[in-house]
Amino acid sequence: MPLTQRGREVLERLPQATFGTGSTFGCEIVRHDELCVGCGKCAVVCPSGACRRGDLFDVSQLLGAPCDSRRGALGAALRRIQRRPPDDPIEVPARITTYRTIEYEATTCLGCGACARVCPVEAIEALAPKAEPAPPQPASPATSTGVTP
Amino acid sequence: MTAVAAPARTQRDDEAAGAAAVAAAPAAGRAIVAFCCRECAYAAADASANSRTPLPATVRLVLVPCTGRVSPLHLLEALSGGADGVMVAGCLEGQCHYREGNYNAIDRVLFVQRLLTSVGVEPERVRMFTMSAGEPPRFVAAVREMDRTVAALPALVRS
Repeated sequence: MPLTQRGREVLERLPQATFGTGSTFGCEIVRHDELCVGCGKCAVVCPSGACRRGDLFDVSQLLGAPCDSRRGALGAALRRIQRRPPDDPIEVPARITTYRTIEYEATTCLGCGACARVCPVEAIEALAPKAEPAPPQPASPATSTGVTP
Repeated sequence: MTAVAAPARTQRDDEAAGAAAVAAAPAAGRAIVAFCCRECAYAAADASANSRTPLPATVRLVLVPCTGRVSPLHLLEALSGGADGVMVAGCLEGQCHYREGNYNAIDRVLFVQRLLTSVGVEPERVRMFTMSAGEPPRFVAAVREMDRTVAALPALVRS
């Protein structure tokens, strides 16, 4: 879901907001792609479109899916007849929406952490925002006139 | 006499219908599962049973309301459950009775073909055919073509 005009205005008024070139006020999002099963829940909740379903599908994600899921059942059926380990990701036809590998774009991410909350396999971690050194500010009179002992 | 309640049919049973069709039929060397849409292909198959050109003994028909019901799981369950080839037979393009069901099926078949290719299985084992209800010879020709294709392929090993 793209950000609304109103949301964009709010973000621009926030202190140190750098929307569009990486977030400095949100959580730090760490993705563990080897744990991801590609369920797409993060893409559904992402407010800025940083997480989205891509055009390719990694077949090894299907083979490693949890057995009690529909995706796991498909993987189990494929595992029975497979002759060799899957190679490169396959291109997905337009009308298949479920079986797509998630793409993550760090520059549009707001760091809201919604994806980490919905992830069923804990493949996304939302860490506390890093205390970054503040960008150099123009010298203000308050700091230059310190009281000397 | 006590009535025996039939076990409730679940979605999962439905997806395993292809495998069940293979298991229920006597062994005939190889087996082809055909998912037929009720509006067109099944009517064509029905009519071909009355014509002079009977279907090959290897084919097992599974009736679905529309080919849009057929998911990748239907196709792979049938292959892993003993079928050597799976065909999906639906309405002609633009003539689906549910508007876009056959377009969905075409993409799902294409997706399964790519899945099979990536794990080293021949993609020809899964194919989509389209026909209208008034063309029994076309259905028979499709089944025969599928039968020939599958007969030429090496046996599918299941672990």
